[in-house]
Amino acid sequence: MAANKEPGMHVPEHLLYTKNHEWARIEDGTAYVGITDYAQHALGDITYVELPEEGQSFNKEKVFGTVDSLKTVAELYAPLTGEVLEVNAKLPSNAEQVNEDPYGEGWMLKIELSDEKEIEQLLPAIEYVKLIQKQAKK
Amino acid sequence: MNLLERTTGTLVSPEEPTLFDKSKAGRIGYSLPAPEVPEVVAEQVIPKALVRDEVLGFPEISENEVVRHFVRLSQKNYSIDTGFYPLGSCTMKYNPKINEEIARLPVLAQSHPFWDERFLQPALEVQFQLQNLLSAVTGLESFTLQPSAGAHGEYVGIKIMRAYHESRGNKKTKVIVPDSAHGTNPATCTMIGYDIVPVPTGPRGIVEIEDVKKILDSEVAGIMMTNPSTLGLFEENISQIAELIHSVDGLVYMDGANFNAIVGIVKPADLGVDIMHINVHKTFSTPHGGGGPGAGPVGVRSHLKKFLPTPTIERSGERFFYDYNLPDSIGKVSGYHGTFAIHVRALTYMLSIGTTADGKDTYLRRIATGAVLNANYIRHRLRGHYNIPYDHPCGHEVVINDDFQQKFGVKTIHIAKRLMDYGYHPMTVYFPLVVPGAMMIEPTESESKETLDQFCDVMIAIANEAKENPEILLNAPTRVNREKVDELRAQKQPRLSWKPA
Amino acid sequence: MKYIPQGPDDQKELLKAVGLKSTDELFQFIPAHLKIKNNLYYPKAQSEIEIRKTFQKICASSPAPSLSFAGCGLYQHDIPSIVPFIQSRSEFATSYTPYQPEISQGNLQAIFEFQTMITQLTECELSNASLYDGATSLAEGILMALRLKKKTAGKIILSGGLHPHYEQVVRTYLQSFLDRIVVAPLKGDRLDQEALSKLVTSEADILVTQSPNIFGVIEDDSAIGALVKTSDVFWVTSTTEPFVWGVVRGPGAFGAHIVTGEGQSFGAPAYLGGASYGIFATKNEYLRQVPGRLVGETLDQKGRRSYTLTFATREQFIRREKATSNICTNQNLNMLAGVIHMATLGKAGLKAVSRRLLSHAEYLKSHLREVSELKISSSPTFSEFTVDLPYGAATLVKSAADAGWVCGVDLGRFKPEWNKKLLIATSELHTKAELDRLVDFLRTAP
Repeated sequence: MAANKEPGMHVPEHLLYTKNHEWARIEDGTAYVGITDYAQHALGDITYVELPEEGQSFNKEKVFGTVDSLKTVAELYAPLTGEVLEVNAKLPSNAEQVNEDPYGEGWMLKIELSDEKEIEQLLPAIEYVKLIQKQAKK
Repeated sequence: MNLLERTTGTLVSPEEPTLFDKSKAGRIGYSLPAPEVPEVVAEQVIPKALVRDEVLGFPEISENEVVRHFVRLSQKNYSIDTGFYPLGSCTMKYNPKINEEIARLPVLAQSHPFWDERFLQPALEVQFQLQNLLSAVTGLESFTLQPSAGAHGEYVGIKIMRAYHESRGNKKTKVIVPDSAHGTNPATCTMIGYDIVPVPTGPRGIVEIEDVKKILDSEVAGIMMTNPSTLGLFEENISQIAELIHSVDGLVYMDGANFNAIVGIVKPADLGVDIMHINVHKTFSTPHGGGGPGAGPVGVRSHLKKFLPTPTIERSGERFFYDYNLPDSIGKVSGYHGTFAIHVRALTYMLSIGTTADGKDTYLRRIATGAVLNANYIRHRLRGHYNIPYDHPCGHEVVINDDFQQKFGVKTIHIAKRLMDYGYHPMTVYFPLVVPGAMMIEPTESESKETLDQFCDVMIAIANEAKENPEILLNAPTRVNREKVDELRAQKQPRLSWKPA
Repeated sequence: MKYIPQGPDDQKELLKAVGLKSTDELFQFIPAHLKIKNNLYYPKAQSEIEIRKTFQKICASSPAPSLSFAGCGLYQHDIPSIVPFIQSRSEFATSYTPYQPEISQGNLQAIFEFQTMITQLTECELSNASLYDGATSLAEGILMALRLKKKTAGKIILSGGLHPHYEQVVRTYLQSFLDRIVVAPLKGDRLDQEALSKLVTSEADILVTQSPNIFGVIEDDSAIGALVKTSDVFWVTSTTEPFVWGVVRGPGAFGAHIVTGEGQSFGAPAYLGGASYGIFATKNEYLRQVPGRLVGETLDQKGRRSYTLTFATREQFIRREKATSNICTNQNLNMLAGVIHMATLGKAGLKAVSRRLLSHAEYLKSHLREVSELKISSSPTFSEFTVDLPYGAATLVKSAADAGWVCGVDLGRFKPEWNKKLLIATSELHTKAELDRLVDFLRTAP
């Protein structure tokens, strides 16, 4: 499926997604996590990202941090259960990276997965596209 | 800059430099009498390492330049005395000037809390009378005047709730908060250490009994309700909800922000409320002052009196006194006795709005009646031009949103900014969160029918502009002192104090 | 009713327009049996003529003192005539919070100027738009320090010289952390530096000091700052008399992380402590954890310098349960009086008044030291100092009260072990004759 060029609709095929608009890139028992193009577009100019410390653990769907735009604060939910191995140190002072490159330089966490079976519960790109197309119509 | 743009010939100067821009060495704005005792230089009596010669950067300006500076600044502000403020939940009613005259009485203004109480009888009596009147309108027997603001009152109220449960050995971990609640409500719970259990706003715009039953269990410490709700609708189920909460030995806290809709009509205690804060800067006319000070007195049922902040104000015969002997008190929440300067104003107002001469009515009732009637009138006039999510009889405020305008690319923020071009302060926008694109309009009883009609005419004109000429709205405001202030830049390049160029 | 524009004819028209027959129908959602009928015990409404008489009577119920040396957290100062004059302008007094920057530049700029002057006084990088008062400001400062130190659970050291009201408020706000609080002892009337150095270790998270302290003594912020530098401790300070910063350096200069205080001296009379505003200043790096409003400078789309509320996502109306505080105000009108007062004083005026305050206090001290029964320590003070009496201070205070004036504050009201201590505060308003009267009174007592 070709990457959609409409703002907020870019959904890379090789990633997995959640209904809370996070993405996960699985690599050998670990996962990189961030928010999707749809999320960054909806938030507008992102001014701040509050992330946890390395070593902290989160259960799936628990809040691990927040992202601030000018007028709103959105919570970030862990797509998978695990321990934080690495945090993107370039955020929060370069929060605009989340707007500019949500799947690349805007990554947020690297976690060590506790239960790889949870991966099956994530949405593949094609399902996530359907979800955001439905939301965009509202 | 073009000299013409710097003119001071106009009433409203477009540019007013800061005090520091206007400062120049050697200018003075103040004088003292000649010293009568030997002048001591700091180094003589204070260790050198601590001494400072002068405050670097402090302005140096003459007195008349200071006056001109602040008068010009004031002219850039909108205010109630200038015009209509349709801000929902803020109750921007007229601030009577007799309040100001009384507040300047020297006997009250110079009162010092550490004087012998014989010198504090006037201050104590003012506070005592204010408490009595607040008790009369709420039905809650005991009050504290210590909280300095509504949010501070919420803090005290929930702390009292916690003290109550601790005294009874109840295991309570959470408070029910409607999802339409003002942000101070959940923030307060967090400060006190309670989890928040949200209860949804039902399809009628109020909290439904079944939704409370679903989340009610023995660990619920209580509920925080606003009545009318932040949608401006009377919480019809509040009595039954109170019963449910009481059935698990929980307490009902009422956020008094919307009290203007029911003052003189019903007493919250009769609805089942146990604890309540009042925003005197809303319901009782004390000035908003550009953002404070306010006062948030908290009233409680008599069985909770022992938890009130210390001291309470009591009377013994003709004498008033502070009672510090409160072993179960939640403690001190304010340095002294609350925002007394505001209490004086609130008492003055409350004395003005009592029973009518024939004894048959109260001005309190007429205030609530006027407020609710005005809001419903606006609802009727705007119908068809704006979407009204809950189009049934409302309280003192009505919530509309931008559903009809979105198809033209126009959103609530544009409508709000365009209102400024027509000379109005915008209404509250994007609150409550349960209505996307919300615009909350509260006229209060202080507005004439002509003002309401003019405002509605303008709102309708803007709705038409959205249809026919949306670009005007997208670029608004263009007729005010500043256009599209760059708030993103303010965060990206923070400048929170003046720096020399 | 003179505050309600709608007359009976207006009401008829409005009811007709909304389709109701009577105003009672407006409240149909309140059960009839719960509505107020004859059970509202409220006095008759008063006109302005009657209100003035009512308050005349209230104010006459007891005489005001003819002279006062009471301080202890709230101070009498000369308030320049232009302060109430400008503060009562409609556009300041009856304006709303400046959420719409386009039509609030007046308030926003005044706040920005206030923030600037506070950074200058305290020698900190950043100030907010003010909080409720000095006591809650201190509590908020400690809570902020706890947020910044949330990983460790070290001790919270409170100076034994804190104003007891401030300490009480702090303990109320820190209810969940009471077991971590330890009090740093005083040596005489000043913090015991040796004892302090044993407390400021890796076991401690936060240090809270107040200068001048409850006895009016100026603490050695230079030594405290040097000690704090050797540790990871977060230093929060409090000041009840900001005029002290006219002669003493701001705590920021010595490395204080958060500086708090009571602003009342700038702008308002004592007003029973009810015209206060809290000073709150800190370093730029802690910006995101700061409670309260912040105003920043920016540009509008025409490139004109503009001011706006900023970093609003810290606050309750957006961050809700995760907010840095539940606070929804700055004491704007009080803060405004403060900034007008400060601007009027200016650099020279502040220096002159501070020097006058110091001079008056030193005059009293030197004369009172000639009275052999009285003891005044050699610790440095500013406008306020403590006299140790050979008898109870309460008797002295009562004796003056019986004669219609206030000779100071009996510190025994806070702690029984302080009942022989009289705290005396001077003002630039005091004349030499009034100072001499106090000296004579103490010389000839009891």
